[in-house]
Amino acid sequence: MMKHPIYNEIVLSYFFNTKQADSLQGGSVLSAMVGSPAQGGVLKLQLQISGDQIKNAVFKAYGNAALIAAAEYLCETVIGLSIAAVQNINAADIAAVLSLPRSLFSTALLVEDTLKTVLGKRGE
Amino acid sequence: MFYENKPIYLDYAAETPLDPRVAAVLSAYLQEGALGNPHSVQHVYGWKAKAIVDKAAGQIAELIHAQPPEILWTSGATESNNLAIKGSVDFYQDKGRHIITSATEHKAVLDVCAYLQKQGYEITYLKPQSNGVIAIDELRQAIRQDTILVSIMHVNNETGVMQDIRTIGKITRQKGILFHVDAAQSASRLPINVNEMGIDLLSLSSHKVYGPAGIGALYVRQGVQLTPLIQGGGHQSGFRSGSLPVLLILGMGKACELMKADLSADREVLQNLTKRLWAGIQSLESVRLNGELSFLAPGYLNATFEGIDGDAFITALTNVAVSSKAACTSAAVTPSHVLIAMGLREQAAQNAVRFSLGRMTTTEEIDEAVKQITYVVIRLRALSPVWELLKEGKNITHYPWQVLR
Ligand SMILES: Cc1ncc(COP(=O)(O)O)c(C=O)c1O
Repeated sequence: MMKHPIYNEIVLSYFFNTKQADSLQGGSVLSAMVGSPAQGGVLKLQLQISGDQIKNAVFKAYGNAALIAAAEYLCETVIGLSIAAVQNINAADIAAVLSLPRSLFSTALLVEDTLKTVLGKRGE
Repeated sequence: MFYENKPIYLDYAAETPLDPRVAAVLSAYLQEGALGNPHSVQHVYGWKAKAIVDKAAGQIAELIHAQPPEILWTSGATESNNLAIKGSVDFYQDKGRHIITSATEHKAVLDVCAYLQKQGYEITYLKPQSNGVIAIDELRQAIRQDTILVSIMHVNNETGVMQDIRTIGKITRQKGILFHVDAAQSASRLPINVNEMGIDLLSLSSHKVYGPAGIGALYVRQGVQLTPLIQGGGHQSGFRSGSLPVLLILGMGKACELMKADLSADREVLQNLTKRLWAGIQSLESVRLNGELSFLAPGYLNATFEGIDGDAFITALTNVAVSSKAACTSAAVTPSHVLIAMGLREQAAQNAVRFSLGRMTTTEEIDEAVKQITYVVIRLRALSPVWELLKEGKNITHYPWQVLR
């Protein structure tokens, strides 16, 4: 079987199984959208938080397959965790899990930035 | 795991499949031993090889209504473009140093022009109208006393847009200016007559006409002189030295013979299939056709699906082989120079997808491709925040994006 020249199996597997691509409504939902089409990536992240715990996490992403995969991975990962546990998730962690090459690192950065932006909205 | 081994092939502009009838001729020649240098004039092996080359030159000449001695073998359209442009402007530099071309040419023309500019030539790059077509009046106005060459492609490899070669040829002939045409794409789609079209130099590529890759031809009108790029044993009247690849030439000759016979039937089928594909794609909302149907050669559609990243689209479309830019430039991440020249915004150009059909494309394949494309577009739009905003009627260009880096 031929290998994709850019995306590895981990990335492709998240990209083709986007279970968390959705929108949430309601008072306990925090949202942020970061990036721009001109930059090649836009990520909207929504967290449903109850007390100190993330009950649900969904995203919408415009960008390449790595961005969509990284967003899916993040959402799947943070569900059920405490705010404290996810606060320090950064681009390097995401890139490591997805084995992203340097050329795709900016997608992990966009995910980190969006997560920080959402969490920053707590108590606003 | 994710990709089919034999997806539906809709990338004929990048490369056409080898026609099985060409493959049969090639394998017969290989079975026989494929021996003979056409330049060995003293024995029968050489004579046989020369006969193959001569016959092939005749087959190419017939396709474009030229004479066999006017056909020069090259390694492909890239070399043909290089030789036509560099070779002619060098030879005729005393007549002038101004060249006219267009901003939507293949890189094998544009990069040559950029090189020549450094050598002191002046280049005018005509900008097409938004439908990709060059306005004839603009071309007329660009002509100067010292213009020695006009180089305009017949059919664009990214969009399929056709240029009015016949009219341009009339003008250049009247003004006594050489006219070069890159016909790499058009040879498999449109009839070509170098005499009626007033063409002096014409580039062809075998792997775009169902022949083997690695061989091409340059038509050089009798009497037109070129400074050679490749010097050596003086082969091909000194225009291009090097022993000829008889196997590839045999294949290109056969491919052109078949093209001559099949062209009009191919065209009609292609036209219908292209219409069918466009009807299917168009039924999705917010799809932009880059180009105008009435100016497209049969078999090409370049489209932008709003709200979707081009890379994500192609990655998700696992069962259809398409491309987002010319194969030759897809290593770079810059948007297509062709679409930018047509006035597309950078984002729309970046996300454009090229579908190109050809001789082996079937109705079933088109119907299946439309199904797959529809599925992918709906899926990716469902997860696109940009699409969400578009649906809300937001202006994407002026939206207050939160850009942190
Ligand atoms: C219009 C055009 N010109 C030139 C070329 C280069 O052809 P070749 O691959 O034969 O060098 C191509 C193919 O990519 C083409 O489409």
